[in-house]
Amino acid sequence: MNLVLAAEGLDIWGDLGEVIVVGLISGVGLSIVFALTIRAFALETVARREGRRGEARRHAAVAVVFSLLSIAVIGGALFSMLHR
Amino acid sequence: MSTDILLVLVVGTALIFDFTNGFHDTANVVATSISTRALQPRVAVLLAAILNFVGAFISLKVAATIANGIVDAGAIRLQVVFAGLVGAIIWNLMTWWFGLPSSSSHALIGGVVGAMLVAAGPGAIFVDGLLGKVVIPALVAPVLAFLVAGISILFVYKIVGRLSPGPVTRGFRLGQIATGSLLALAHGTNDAQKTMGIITLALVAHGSLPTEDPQVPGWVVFSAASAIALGTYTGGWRIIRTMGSKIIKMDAAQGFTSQGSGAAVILAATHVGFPLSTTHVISGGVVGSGAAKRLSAVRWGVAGNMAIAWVLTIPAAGAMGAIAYGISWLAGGGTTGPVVVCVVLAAMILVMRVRRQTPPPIATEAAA
Repeated sequence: MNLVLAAEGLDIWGDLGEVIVVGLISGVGLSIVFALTIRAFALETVARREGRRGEARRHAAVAVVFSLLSIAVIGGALFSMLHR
Repeated sequence: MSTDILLVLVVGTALIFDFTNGFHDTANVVATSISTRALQPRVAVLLAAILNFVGAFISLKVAATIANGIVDAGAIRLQVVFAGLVGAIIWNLMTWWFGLPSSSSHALIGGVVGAMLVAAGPGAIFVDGLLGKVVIPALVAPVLAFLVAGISILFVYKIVGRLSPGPVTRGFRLGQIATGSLLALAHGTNDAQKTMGIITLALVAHGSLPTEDPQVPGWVVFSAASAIALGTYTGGWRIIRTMGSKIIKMDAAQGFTSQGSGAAVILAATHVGFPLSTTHVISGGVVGSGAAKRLSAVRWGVAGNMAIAWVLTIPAAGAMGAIAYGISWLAGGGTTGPVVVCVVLAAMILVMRVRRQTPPPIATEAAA
């Protein structure tokens, strides 16, 4: 069944596939990236409290990278909203 | 003169619908943030109201020539639009009364389809359009959000599961503010457009705007943005309770994944122009994040009631739109008919306000 609304130029199955793929990747991706950010910050706090400075610095760097990634994902979402 | 009165009635009814849309859909944006204490309830609805207001100004693509591709645009008259709006308002009020989240867009489409069916017959309804733009998205939205939120929460628990809960909860609460804000902005952008589209359509039909490339007047944008923001700030607390704590008892990570997955799915759909209901997406996300943790964590009875409300939305709003059009027609059509319908609607709202202190048994049961 090839459901195409000719008047709308809307290819239902094609658009549906795109929504599923993009929604899955961005939704799961955002959650993973943000969870990794929180994990890095939490581990950095523990390492700092226990005086393991080198490890704390490493975790802090990872936290900064994932924070920037999280901000980029949310910024991308805002950009797509503003430029649709 | 009589067309002026009809125009005022349609504009007024469209703004009332916009208001009900706002307070009905507040839950989509704020329920999880309130439930996990990421935000205080009043702060959450205030933030959502402001972002809904701002969102209404982001895009002025009035794609919302209502029910476009679903009913014969050439057969749409102001009386049909009016009756459709009335049907949608009544359904929104009824589902709010029972604390059930349902789609305002589907209510509007159902109302217009019902009114059109009575006004112009079945030939004016495009079944393919109804299937492709409403039925399939309605099936896809909750299932996709369920899957995305479910998979996400499994990864999240794997990543942060062994950490101290304090900082993890604080982190996810912070994240919820960002994802909730995104949702509110997207909601304002999408839903205020419907009202702008209806009012613009009414102004074109009245002759106040040209039929060729009509521009949305500034006052229309401002009033639609204000109505949805005011409705959001008023807050449909019954639905917020259902969405925030009756379906699952959620932690901050589940709140974040529900909102994050919801925002991702809605924005992906908006980007390709695929119409999904915010309500269906967020509800699916909430159930998904609960079921992935433990199937028994979900109150399937409440989820089932919501699913029933979704299935009923289009036929029920359609029936009410049809009745509203019928009453209007029996009262003489023209301007008199819509005036009579307004009186009936006002009386119904008054009765609901009087009975507000005594919620029905189903609401008490849901609150237990």
